[in-house]
Amino acid sequence: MVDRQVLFPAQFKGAGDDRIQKANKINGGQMVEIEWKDGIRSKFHSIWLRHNCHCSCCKLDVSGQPIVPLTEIPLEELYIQDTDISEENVLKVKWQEGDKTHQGYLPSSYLKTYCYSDGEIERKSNAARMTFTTDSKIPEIEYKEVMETQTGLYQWLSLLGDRGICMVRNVPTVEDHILKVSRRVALPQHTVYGYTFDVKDRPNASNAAFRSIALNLHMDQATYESPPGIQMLHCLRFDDQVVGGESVFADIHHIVDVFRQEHPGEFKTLCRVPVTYETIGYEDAAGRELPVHFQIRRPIISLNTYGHVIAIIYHEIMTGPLQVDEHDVEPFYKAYQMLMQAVRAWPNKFRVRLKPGDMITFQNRRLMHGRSAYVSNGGLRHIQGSYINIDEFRSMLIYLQNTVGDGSPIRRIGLLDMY
Amino acid sequence: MSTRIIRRLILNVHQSNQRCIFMTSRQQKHSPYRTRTGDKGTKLAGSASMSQMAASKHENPTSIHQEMVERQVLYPAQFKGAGDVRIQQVNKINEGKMVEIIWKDGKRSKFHSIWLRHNCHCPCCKIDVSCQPTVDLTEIPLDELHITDIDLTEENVLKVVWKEGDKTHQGYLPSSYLKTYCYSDGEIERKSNAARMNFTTDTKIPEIDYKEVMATETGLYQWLRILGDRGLCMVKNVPTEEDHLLKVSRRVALPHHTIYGDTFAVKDQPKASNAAYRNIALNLHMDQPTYESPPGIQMLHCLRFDDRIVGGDSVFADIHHIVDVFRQEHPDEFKTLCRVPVTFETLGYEDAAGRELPVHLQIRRPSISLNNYGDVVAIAYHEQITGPLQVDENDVEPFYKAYQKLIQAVHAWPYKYRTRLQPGDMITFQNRRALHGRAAYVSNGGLRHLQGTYINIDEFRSMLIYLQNTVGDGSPIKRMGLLDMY
Repeated sequence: MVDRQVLFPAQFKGAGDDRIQKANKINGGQMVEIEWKDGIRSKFHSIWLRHNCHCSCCKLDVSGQPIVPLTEIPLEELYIQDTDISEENVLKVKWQEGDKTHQGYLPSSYLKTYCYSDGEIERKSNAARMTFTTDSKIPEIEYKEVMETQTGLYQWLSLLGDRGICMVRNVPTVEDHILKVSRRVALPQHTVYGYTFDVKDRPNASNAAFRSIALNLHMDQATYESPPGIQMLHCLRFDDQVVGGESVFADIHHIVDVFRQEHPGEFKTLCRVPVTYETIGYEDAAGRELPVHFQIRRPIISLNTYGHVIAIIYHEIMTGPLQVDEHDVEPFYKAYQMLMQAVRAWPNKFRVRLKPGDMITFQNRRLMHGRSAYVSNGGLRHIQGSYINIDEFRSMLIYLQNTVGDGSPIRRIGLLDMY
Repeated sequence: MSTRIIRRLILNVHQSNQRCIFMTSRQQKHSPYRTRTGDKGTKLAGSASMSQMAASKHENPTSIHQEMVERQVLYPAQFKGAGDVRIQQVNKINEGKMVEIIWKDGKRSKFHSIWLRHNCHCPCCKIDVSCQPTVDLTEIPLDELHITDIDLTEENVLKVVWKEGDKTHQGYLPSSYLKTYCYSDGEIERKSNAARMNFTTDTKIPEIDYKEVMATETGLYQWLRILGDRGLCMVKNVPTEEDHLLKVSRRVALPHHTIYGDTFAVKDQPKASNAAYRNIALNLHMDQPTYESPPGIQMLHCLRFDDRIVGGDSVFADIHHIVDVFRQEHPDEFKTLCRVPVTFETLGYEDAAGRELPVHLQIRRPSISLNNYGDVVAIAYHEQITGPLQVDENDVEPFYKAYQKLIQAVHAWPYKYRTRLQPGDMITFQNRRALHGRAAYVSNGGLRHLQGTYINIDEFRSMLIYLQNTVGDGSPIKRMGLLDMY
């Protein structure tokens, strides 16, 4: 399986002891019960095992894609005839499907990682919760570390995954250098503002960010179905004579976690009533090339099946006209106002005045960012920004966690994933 | 100096005069538009009245409507589809907690005072050009917010005076905005119904010529409109050079990359990172459901498809239409597929042809997503990208039963589009609506080479709406499989 590249052992590094003690058919072959050497028991349905069979008829080499023809399997007549654990690390299975049989196998590491019976999914959902802290010191890493080794890259992404924010120090103050860093992870996630964007004061600015006014805490690009996962802001210039312009960050997931306990009714409202986010511009404006008409309605808070918060989308100055039933309008505004007040009053904010060479990187969907207004006094404040797609960030983090790190499952990162 | 710039300079001067009148004293203090007439403004703000507003209007040559256009917080084209936006009458109701508008066409709409307040279009409340609202909701005592005055003296503008605690705010909204965004009396449900996709049993693929798409806004609009309505469109006679497809997509947006790059080569390759890069058959699917936002538009440009190749025909089917029928025929299985999330995954820790970096993409999402009115907004479907189901044990067998039924419905669907691509053909389709697949092929020494790329769904929709409003008739577009609760 390893040679065919349908099994990457590193992928299951965090599975722990995946040795099978015993495997028994139960329920007339509808299920298999595995007793692991560590004492845990897991049950698997025959269809689940069949669909995930790793033999060469069932999984394509290299791509690992399943090619089991589900429509040809009579589900009512599928059951397990035999199991065999004589070869270590593999569960061999023989299925009866109608008048045919299929012999196949699954790696035990796969089974241990993906077991789902007896409340396991809810346990995994609980274990995926973000960890919060009241520490308001921004973690740091050196640019050279990130660029030169896999371990350095992993450290950076691991900090981003856990804490949601990380300052990368001493990035050469050359335009587009930011892309050299992001390219270690993925191609840049573009938006309507391009592959990179210049945060500096400009006339006819297409976005409030491209001015010198204050920006309240927000996450970028709430109008996109998939707002950026990682945001990187590289300070190219921040002249001493510029007054103001400090950056501030706050963990919206932490804020909402507290808000949920303090205002449960309002919390429910914000899960249920969708807000409108929009970016509209039909004329030329500095910072974007094409006209735009983005408008999306989405709940501010999304939950998974177990009621855990998986995603939050929050941007005060990107809101558009609320398009909900009239009975939801006032309750929404009441709840929304309360959330805004909670954000304003949040005591655990990160603050920093960026210096040239600083590149602040953060989970765009977890660490909201903002800045105070500034007066240039003839100086220049110029920050270059870029984004990394959330799926691609997570993919690289998991891969590194499994190859360089200890293989433990990562925490949530604000993605619309029901896990 | 252009007329436009001169007009803006004049506007800036008169705007700063106006702002004093419109701002409350607190807003003035913190406004980015501080003016030297601050003190005078403070005094006026406390006792602002309709007559003063009228007086200021008399001083200023442009109307409020025109001013909103100049400030770029109002793009009239945006509301082209609103119909007759003239207001017949407007009344405060519920002691100023709401406003009722009677439109000239007889319709009635109600708006809450907070809704109007949040969407006020005055210079203190909406930033020029970016249109971003700057109303600080935390400073408004919601229980004490009510409307004291409304004024219709100017056509197509609703002027409002709000009382918010001990302060007042004078502002305005365009009537076209109000007409477009009304929400009372079941309007949102009506709009949700109206956004439903149109289905057809026609299996002829609509066509447009490459030159049309590239040469004019109208041609571009035609292409995107067909994509929006029908979900697929053949662009004919695209020059068969590599990367030429990016010239076409660039009319809409930057390319939507994936782990396979900005473009991908669909041809038979050893050690293929994806089943597509082989000569095997591909069942109907949508690309990249492992991504939170799978591609919106997919474009496949046929560079070569030698005659001696046997097989390799392309096939397409409208999954939204299939599910619409499935819903009626198998309502319980439909519900299961809305409720039980499927796992999609793409894993590869070693080098493989077609992708540069290792991957571990894994997401759990429902196959079908509904909005608040039970309308299907998004579907995710890819038989060969499914991973290990991670759901409670009680959901496993019901899921597989429902999923098998859906797969059978897809396989048995009678309204499939089929084509054998010719060099120069570029088939473009809504990746999340028109599933695509191909028959297996044998190369016989020939080459079948398609180059593919994607456009992000939000950016496609944005350009389509913009063109619908500027080149087209402004009518609202239909859904396109986006996770939008609308």
